[in-house]
Amino acid sequence: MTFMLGIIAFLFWILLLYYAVLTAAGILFRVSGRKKKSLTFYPSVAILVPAHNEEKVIAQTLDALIKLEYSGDLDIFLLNDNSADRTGEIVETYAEIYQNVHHIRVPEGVPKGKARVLNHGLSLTQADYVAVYDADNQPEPAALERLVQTAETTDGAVGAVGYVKTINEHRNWLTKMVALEFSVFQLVMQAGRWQLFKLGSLTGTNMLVSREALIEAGGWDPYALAEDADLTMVLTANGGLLPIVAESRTWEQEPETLKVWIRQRTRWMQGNLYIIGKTFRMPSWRRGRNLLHTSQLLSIYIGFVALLFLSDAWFVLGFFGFREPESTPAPVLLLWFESWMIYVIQLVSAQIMDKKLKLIDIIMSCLMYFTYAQLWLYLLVRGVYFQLKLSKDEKQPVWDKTIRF
Amino acid sequence: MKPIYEKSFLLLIGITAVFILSELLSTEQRIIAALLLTSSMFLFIFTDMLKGFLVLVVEVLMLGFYLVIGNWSFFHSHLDQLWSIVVQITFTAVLVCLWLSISLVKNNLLEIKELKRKVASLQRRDQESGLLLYEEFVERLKIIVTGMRRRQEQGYFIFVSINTRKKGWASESVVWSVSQQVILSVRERYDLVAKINGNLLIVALQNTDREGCDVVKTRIMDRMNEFLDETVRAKLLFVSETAMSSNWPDVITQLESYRNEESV
Repeated sequence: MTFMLGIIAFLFWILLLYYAVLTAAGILFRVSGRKKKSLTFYPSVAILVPAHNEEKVIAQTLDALIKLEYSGDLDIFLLNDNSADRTGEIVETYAEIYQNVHHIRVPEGVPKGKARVLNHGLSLTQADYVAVYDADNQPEPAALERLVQTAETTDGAVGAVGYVKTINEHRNWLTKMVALEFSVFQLVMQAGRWQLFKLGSLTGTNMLVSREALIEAGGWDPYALAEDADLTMVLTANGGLLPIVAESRTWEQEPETLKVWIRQRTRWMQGNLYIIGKTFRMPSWRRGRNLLHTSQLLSIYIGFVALLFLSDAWFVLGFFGFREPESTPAPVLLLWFESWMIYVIQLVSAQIMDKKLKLIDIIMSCLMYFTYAQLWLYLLVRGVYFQLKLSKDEKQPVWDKTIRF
Repeated sequence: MKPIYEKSFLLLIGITAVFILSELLSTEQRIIAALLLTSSMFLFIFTDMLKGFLVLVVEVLMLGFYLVIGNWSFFHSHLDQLWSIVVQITFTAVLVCLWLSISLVKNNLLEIKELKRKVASLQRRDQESGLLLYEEFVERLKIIVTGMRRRQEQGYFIFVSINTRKKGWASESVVWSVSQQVILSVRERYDLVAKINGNLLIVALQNTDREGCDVVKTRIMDRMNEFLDETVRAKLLFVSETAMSSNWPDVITQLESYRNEESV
């Protein structure tokens, strides 16, 4: 028992070390900065926007997409996935005014979800690059051009990934915490992985992939609930790089209630568990850089949750003085403290790199470990349960659309 | 929170943390901590904010891992772990307060610099000489050139080059004196006078032909002769003229080429 606890504590410490190094590398990536590289020729781009009942947000999204400053040919395909509300009517208005806005009615089909809709969009375009924006996104005018510039000037790149910011950050405590979590994932973790391993992950929106690479990858896997992570694995297995472009920003609406957040995150958790399962079936996903991707997925969805659980256990054990020289082999209370410390450092670092830090943000960062982060334990259990149920019943995955506010 | 409260709060936390830290550490540890904090302070001062923050993060993480190794290797007690936690919190607090204070000062300096730049961009004339500033000169000239092209009028540039190299000790006053004479020699509300580099003045004459340009040149020379000895003037000043193009891109290219030259 003592030996086992020692081993677990050591692995826990290794994971902490990895997160610490990643944090420092992420800051280093931002410190070193990237100069804007202009191109002499801008390739054609098709923007795909999958939409299902998006009447609340679609007009603002189209307004933002029309305002994109891009020097090459640009077409916007609004992929209307059988919306029952006024989405089609709104999009039709834009399509009548702007020649490069196309209203596409996607035929019904299974499995339902974003990946199938995107594949339909891919079949309609001959553009050099395909960009994806979610229906609730408002990219900044320079966002697309920065993605193309980076994709075209990075050796081996088959696309690029931008930064997703939260438009309703100040709505309540939940949206604020989601915004903090997003900035950590993108500005610290993603940036750190790119700095250390030249590894980037598609985020599902504000992303660009060359059409050629998409065709070679066979498009999006329609059975994947986390279609972006799945595509990342395929593109990486094919030898492509996906550089991170923190200066390319889009604004997205995040869940404002806990219920909606849990449903969205359960879908993400299920999607990533599906990919982890797929890794065991696909030998090419366990080689080279994809091994790092797999480790990353495991470290976030299994490692981080395990770390969280263990740190909670360490805290309880340490608090009651369980660790004594003769009884346990590890300083458990101190290990708990270090995991909290690293978590807070990541949150504060992400904010410092993005905006002017406020006292409320520091307080929020200190509290998130005890509140928001703990919900991941519940999400893992819920995700595993639904994924197992899906396999047992041999049912197709159901795309649970995030409710807009 | 108002800036004054933020700064006071920062100072209070910093002082409290230093006090607790000095109470917790032995003499040797205090010396090491002081050395670390002093070197960090210099790094924060001489590097930009983000690089300074990177140093801070690396130091805090390294201290954390050092404390874990220490506790792990020597099987310290529950109380020792609590001691380690308090040491790391207070050390981090001192470092953060140092970084934030230095960043605040740097931010203020940057703001002042930015404000000065904005004030300079809003300024139209050099306050001492009364000459137009180059940016303002270009803005006004653009309107003049466009109007002249529409009305199919001619225009001329007169360049007054001041050779102060051999008389560097009087350069500022000489440039000032010459500027005053040039301003007095042209039509006040019609022609433009500016300094386009350290010792080159430019006069833009609108709706003027060759003859009119010569009149202004002679007027400038006559005024110079009033306060300068002719031999000195010949060595000090060189006045030339060129016809103004009616095509704005050509005009701006011409101006930039003169601007980048040492003298004409």
